[in-house]
Amino acid sequence: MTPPAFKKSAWVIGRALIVVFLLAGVVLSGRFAHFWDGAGFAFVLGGGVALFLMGFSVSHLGAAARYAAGRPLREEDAAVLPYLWEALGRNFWIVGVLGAMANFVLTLARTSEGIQQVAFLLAASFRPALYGLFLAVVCAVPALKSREDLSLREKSSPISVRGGERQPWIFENIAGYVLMVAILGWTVILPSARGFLQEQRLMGFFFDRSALLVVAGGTVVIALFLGRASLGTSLTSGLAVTGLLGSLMGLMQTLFAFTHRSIQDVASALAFVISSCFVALLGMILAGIPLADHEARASSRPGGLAFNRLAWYIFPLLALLFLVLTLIAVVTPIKI
Amino acid sequence: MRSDEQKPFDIDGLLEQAFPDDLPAEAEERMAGRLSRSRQEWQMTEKGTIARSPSPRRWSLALARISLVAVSAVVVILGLSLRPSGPPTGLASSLAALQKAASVSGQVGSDRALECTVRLEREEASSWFVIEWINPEETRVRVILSGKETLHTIRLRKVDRSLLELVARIGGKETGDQPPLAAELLPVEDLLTSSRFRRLLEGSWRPAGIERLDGCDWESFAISKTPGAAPSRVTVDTCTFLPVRLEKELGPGGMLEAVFRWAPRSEPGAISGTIPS
Repeated sequence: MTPPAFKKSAWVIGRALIVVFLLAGVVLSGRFAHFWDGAGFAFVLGGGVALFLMGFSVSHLGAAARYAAGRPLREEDAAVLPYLWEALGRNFWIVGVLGAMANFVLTLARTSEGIQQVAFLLAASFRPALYGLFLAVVCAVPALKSREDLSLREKSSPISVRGGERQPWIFENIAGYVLMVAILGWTVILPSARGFLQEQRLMGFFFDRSALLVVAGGTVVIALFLGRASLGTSLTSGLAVTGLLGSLMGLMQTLFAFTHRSIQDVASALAFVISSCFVALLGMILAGIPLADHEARASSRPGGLAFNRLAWYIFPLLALLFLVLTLIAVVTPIKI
Repeated sequence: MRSDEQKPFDIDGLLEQAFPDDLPAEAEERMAGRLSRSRQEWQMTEKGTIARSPSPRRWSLALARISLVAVSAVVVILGLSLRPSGPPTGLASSLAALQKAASVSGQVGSDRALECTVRLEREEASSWFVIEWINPEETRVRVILSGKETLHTIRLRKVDRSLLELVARIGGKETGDQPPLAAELLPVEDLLTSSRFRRLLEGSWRPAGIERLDGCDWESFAISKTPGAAPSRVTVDTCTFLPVRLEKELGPGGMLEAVFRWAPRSEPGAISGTIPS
C-alpha cells in the first residue's frame, strides 16, 4: 500500500472508530431506549424531504445525492448545491421542532397517567427536535463543503449569475405538499383513531383562537410593510417575528400570573405561547419556506438572506426553549 | 466620374470588415443577456416613472394596502382582546389540571399534620375511621364499626432517604418490610401516610366542577388511573392546594368519602362530616 493510500485508509478507519465509540457510549449509558422513537424519526425524515420537494424538484434532490456520493456534477448544480444542502438541513431542524411541539400537545391531550409519568412523556416529546438537529448537522457538512468547492471553482472560472425568472410550480411541489399534509395528518389522525382523543376537541389543543389571529394579522402587516421583498422572505420573516412576539407576550403574562399565583392564568398564557409558536412554525412550513425555496430555485446562485436565516434557525430554537420553560412551569408545584 | 450612390455601400463594407460577425457563442450570449437586462431595467424605470405620476390606479392600490393593514391590525387587536375573555382552551385546561395536580402533590408531600374523617359505605354496614398523622413515622387510626371503637397505632419503620430525595424534598419510599396492617384498616390504607396518599392522587386529573366560590374556591377533579376504571373525585382548596374531600367508589355498592383537616393551614370548617357517638 502506498503512503498516501495508507494515510487515507487510516483516516477513514479513525473516523469510523470515533463514530463507533460515540454510539457505544450512548448505548452503554443504559438509557438509549429513552432517546429512540421510530415514529418521531420517520416524521422528521419524511417531513424534511417533503418540505424540500415543496420548493425544489427531484432532480435537485438527485444532484444533492450525487454530490454526497462523490459523483461528477453539472455546472448549474454546483452553484445551487450549497443552498440545497442548507435547505435540507434547515427543513429537518424546523420539522423536528414542530414534531416536538406536536408531541408535547398530544401528550397533554391524551395522557391518563400521573404527574411523574406525564413529566417523563413530556420530556420524551423533545426527541423529534433532537433528530432534527442531528440531521441538520449531518446536512451542514456537505453544505459547507460544497460552498468551499464552489468558491474554489469560481476562482478558476467565474460562474455566470443570471437574474431570477419566475419558475412554474411543478409536479414534485404538489407531491411534496400532499406528502407533508399526509405526515401531519398521520401524527394527529393515528392517535385519534386509536381512541385516545375521543373526548377531546383536538383542534382546540393545537390552535388557540387568539394566537391564530395575532400571528395571522401580524404576518400580513409585516408582509405588507416588506412589500418590495420577495413573498417567501416576507412571509417567513413575518411569521417568525409575530410568533416570537406572541410567545414573549404569553411569557410575560405567565410571569404576571405567577405573581398572582393563579394557575388558570398561568396555564392560559402558556397555552398561548405554545399555540403562537406552533401556528408560526406551521405557517413557515406550509407557506413561507416553500415560497422562499421556489424563489431561490429561480436564481442560478441562491443564497439566504441574513434575516431569513435568523427566522429559520433562531425562531425554532426559541420555540423549543419556550417549550422547555412550559414543561418546567407545569411540573413545578406552586408553593404557598 | 465617381458615383455618389456607391459611398454608403463602401461604408457598410468597411464596417463589416472592421467588426466581423464572428463573436464566440458564449460572448454573444452574454452580450444578449446584458442587452436584455438593460432593456428590462429601462422598462422598469419607465414603469416607475409612470407609477410615480398621480393616477387613480395608484391611489386605489394605496387605499387597498392601507385598508389591508388596518384590517390586519384590527385582527391582531381582536386576538389580543379575546385572550383574557374567552373560555380556556383544551390545552390551557390540560396544563392547568396538570399544574394543580403537581401543586397538590407538592403540598401533600410536605411534612404536615392531617386529621382525616373517613366514612365507608358498604352493602352490609357503614364504618367510620378517624386518621391522624402524628408525625412522619406514626399514624393513629380510630375505627368505629357498629358502635364499637378500636384504636390502632401504626409505627412505620424509618426508611433511609437518599441525598437526592432530601434535596428534592420527596417522601422516602416505603419498603416492603413494614409491619402488616390489620384487616379492618385495608380499605383506608392509601390514607395512612403522605407518600401513599400521593400515590392515590396519581393519575390523570380532569376538572369536574367548582363547589365553592369565595376567593379560595373549592375545585373538584376526577382522577383516573386507568382508562375505563371509575375515577376518584377530589376537591381541592385553590388557596392552599390541599385536598379537602375525597370520594372513591369501591366496587358494587361501596363508597368511601374522606374529609381532611390539615394543620395548621386549613380552616377547621373544612370538616363537614360528624362522627357518631
